[in-house]
Amino acid sequence: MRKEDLVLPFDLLDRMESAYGVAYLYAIVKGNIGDNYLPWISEKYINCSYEKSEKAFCISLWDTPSSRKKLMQHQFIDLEKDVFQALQPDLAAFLQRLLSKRIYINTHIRGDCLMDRSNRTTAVGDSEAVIFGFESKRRVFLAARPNENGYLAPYDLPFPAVRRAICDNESPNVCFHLWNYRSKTIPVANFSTISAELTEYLSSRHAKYAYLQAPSFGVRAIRDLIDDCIGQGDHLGEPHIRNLKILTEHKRFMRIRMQYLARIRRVPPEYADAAERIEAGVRSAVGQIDGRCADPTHHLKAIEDQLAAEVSYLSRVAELLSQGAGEKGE
Amino acid sequence: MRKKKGDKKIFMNQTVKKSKIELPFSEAPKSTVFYYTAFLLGILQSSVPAEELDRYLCGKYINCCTQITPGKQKLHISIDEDKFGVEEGILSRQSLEMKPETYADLGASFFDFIKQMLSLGYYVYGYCNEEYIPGKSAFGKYYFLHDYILIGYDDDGKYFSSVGYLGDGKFQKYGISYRDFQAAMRSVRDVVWRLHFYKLKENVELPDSLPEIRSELRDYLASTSNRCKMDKDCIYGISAIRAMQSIAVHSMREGELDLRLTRACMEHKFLTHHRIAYLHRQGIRPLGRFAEDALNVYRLAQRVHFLGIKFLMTKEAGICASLKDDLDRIIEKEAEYLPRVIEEL
Repeated sequence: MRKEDLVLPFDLLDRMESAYGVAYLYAIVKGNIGDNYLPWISEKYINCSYEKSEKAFCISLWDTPSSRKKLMQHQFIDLEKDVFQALQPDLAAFLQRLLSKRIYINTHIRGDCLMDRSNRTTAVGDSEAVIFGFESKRRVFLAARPNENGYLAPYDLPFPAVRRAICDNESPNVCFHLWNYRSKTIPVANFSTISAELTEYLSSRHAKYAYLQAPSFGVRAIRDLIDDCIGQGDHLGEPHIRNLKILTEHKRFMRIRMQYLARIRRVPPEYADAAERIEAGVRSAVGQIDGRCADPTHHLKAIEDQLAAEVSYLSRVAELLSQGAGEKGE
Repeated sequence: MRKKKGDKKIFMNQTVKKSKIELPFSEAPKSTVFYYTAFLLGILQSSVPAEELDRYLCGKYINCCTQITPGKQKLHISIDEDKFGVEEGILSRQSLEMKPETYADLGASFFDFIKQMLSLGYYVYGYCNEEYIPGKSAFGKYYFLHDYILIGYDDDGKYFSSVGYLGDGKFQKYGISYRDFQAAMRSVRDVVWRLHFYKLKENVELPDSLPEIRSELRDYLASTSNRCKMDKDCIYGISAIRAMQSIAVHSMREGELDLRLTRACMEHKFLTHHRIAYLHRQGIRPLGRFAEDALNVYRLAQRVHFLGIKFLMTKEAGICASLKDDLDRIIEKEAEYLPRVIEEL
């Protein structure tokens, strides 16, 4: 790699199909600290919400860029395109300067400006993406966004296409989230926080957003999502399938969390086994539904059964973790 | 081409020709106790026909809440999260939250950015350390991070135009020299400097919130809030006035009083009177008999605020009892006449 090239740590190994913000943050944190990310993820993405009117299932409700946990430095630009254009910044130079300060750039990018690195085809549709490096010789930025199958994948963004990619897309504003991983930060899990979050998840509430009436939270949110999907009958399509895929990510994080807690002996290993079974069950059911099976309702009911099993064991986990409140993990 | 005086290179390929600009802003917003309402109303009162604004205000700021956590004790007369009317489609907002050096990376200094946006017609809202702003209570004394709004600049005089409270306790227009503003920003302890740019939308039609008056008044009387909730330490509606009374009395016994409590109460009652008088005037409902009640409550609230000022000047112990009594009467009167207003509505 040439000296002028720069690639910030970004883990693309996991087949992430979650909401963009979650997948990007996960890839950055994991890329920076490897398995040390486990205490962080054990506190993150526990609760969830479902906004029925917008059909939006969300697993990142608070502290989205983890800046409140001091894990990331977050900067933000949100300007109308006319105003941004009036500034006439040299965008390619701006992005390179940010990357040289180890800042990841999350922004909306025009699909046909991005080239898939594996099959050299352009991306379909505009979407949020993360720019995590550049190669001067090839004159490209290195970016990641979901591919057509919904998995996070690497793309090239040529230097000359940057202005068009960012200023000429479907988004009304030019919006950048700038994330800087604080390299000295090693996350520590707080068991009482995990316990409190699990309790909120199980009781279908969210302290910060308790005033909001529209979305449902926690277990109720998942039940509402499933009911909504069942209501679609055989016509189940997007965005429901995407929401169900996000649900599998929620169960993946729950399994990772329980395996970590079992490893450090905060919970008995059978709870990690239970989380693994539940993830497998949900993933299998969602796979069947995504494969356009004949009877989606049958598989949605199977997800409901998994949810019942989860509620049963998680309440015991929350109780266990609340003992010795304030204690911290590895 | 020769540069004219006033031309200044701002961005790489652009110049700002105006050396002086001042955006319209009313010097007497109908509420000034908190900057967020003062800023929205200051902009609206300078640009929107009075009749339209009256109609809009009629459905706004009905409920209120008091934060009770020590150190954060305030009576809020706006419980909306959308304090600047962005969601309502009144003002547009753009934002920058960046380290000072990132502004430079984008192609302009923080100060050039502000001037450029002002010259494009945007009001600038942010946070600075008032320890370095001459005329402010904290000037030269202590670190005090506070919000500000900039409505203009003058390159010849080298100052920004702002509005807000100065040490004399008056809400007013004033200038901050470029140098002082720079010092006020450079001493901010936050890593990130936040800037929000607001502009009144073209041909804006203020939303009609009249239909919400009844449910909001019900919430107020029941001390609940269905519209939105702030932090967990908030008490809503008429109980918020009671909570504010308790906080005021407690602090007066300690020899102190935050005048924002009494001012907020006074402004809330002013807006209530304004609402009822407007509805009556428009013939929307025959509320004339209640306009008198609302006016009496407003006068009592004025008296409460003046008592507060007098207390801070004289520290007379007897004032506390008078202030408490007046607030009791406010609560009593509202509990008596507002249910009848709801019936009429």
